[in-house]
Amino acid sequence: MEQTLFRASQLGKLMTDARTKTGLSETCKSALLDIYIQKKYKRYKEISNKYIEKGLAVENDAIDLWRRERGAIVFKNENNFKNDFVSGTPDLLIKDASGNCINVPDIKSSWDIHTFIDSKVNDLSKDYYWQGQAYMWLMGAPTATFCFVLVNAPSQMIDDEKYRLARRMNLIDPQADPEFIRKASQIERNMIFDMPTFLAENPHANLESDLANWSHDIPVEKRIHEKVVMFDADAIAKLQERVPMWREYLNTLDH
Amino acid sequence: MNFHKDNLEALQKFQQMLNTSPDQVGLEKTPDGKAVTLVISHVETTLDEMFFGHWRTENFKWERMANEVVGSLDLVIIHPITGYELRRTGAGAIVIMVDRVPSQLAADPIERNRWALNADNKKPNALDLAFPKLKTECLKNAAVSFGKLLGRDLNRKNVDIYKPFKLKGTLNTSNKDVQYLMELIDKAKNLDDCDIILQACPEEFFQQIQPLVNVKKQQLSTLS
Repeated sequence: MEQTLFRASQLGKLMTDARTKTGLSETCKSALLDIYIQKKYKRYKEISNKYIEKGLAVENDAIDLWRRERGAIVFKNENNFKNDFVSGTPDLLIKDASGNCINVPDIKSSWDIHTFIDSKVNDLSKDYYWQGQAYMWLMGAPTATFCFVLVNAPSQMIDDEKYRLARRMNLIDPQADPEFIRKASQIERNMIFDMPTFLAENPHANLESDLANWSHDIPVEKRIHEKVVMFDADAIAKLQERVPMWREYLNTLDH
Repeated sequence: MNFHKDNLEALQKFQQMLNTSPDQVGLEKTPDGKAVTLVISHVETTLDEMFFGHWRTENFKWERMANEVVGSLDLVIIHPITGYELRRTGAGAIVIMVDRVPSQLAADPIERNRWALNADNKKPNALDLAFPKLKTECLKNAAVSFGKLLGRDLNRKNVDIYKPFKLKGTLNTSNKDVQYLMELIDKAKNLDDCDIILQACPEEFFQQIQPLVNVKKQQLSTLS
């Protein structure tokens, strides 16, 4: 376990301070336990929910929307970067003319307008802050930009929500029930923000909404916002201090 | 058939083609105006295109039932990837047209049906057009089972979507990237723009994109 590298996305939990200021926090220990099991037994804790599923499913749509809106000539990065402490795969890399990375944009797809606005009015989470610091450290970039994007949910996810609704309402023929139609239309309104794009990508979509009177699209510029994180050498120094402690703890688990 | 990844990829791509939307030009309303159908010319031509002419019908069977003729046939195709023969059965029915029911009987449903069932009232050429239509309906019905391109899911509300597996290194490409690159090339105003596009272009698309950028460069050079 000596040379374990810690993933950028795990750092928020790992950097959680202990309440007593002595030793590692419980959150940190729990994260380390997961890392230990992954490394030792190659078993990964399955973490999935509808928010994560949407994020994965619409990742390319969100990147595409953001880069078009911002005029950025940039494509998804697939390379994993590492140093002696951390590793990570930033979504996007913006470089200057000499090839130096000057910004590390990371795309975060919001589940709905509520989580989107929430991310806008509230501070960046600790997880994202440390993810950004790690990416900047790895890439030598001065800034990381967290780009929150609200794009349509995939047609299948909308169908799943409506199917669950029909099951909850105990309906055999949901389309015949006006209450189902009303609630299903609300689901569609909650999950579709750009109907022309949705219909272009899903010409056979099974929608309950009255498309002739659809007026619920949200303009693109209202569906993107960014939070910028500056590189903080002190934060990285603090992280470098902690890594040996994490590795030591992982070694104790191995005995 | 060897189920190597490349073969699976080819099969999936073919299935994806079969599950694209039908040609909108080929869609017409049914005579009652309640549904939409893909007209037979488009079905047959699409079969020609997708199966390279290697399709035929077999076992056309029919039977008169009251004032209708019901039928079925087998649509047999040679799969262009596997080379295997696939067979799908289609069914259909046509009504034997009779003369207009006399007005004194029209109000009585039983008498009206009796009139329709009486062969004496059959129009002399009722089956001249209707019988070939039965074969058409059977063929269309068999064809829909091959995919959306041939009319599957027309008039259905709850439809499934063909979701290919992601075969590593093959289908996991983002078409949006290619579309974006093409748009950037189209909008490029000078040679620097072209170089920026090439610098940013992902490796997987580079071979496709580089010649297009070079053409654009030539166009821009000519203009200047």
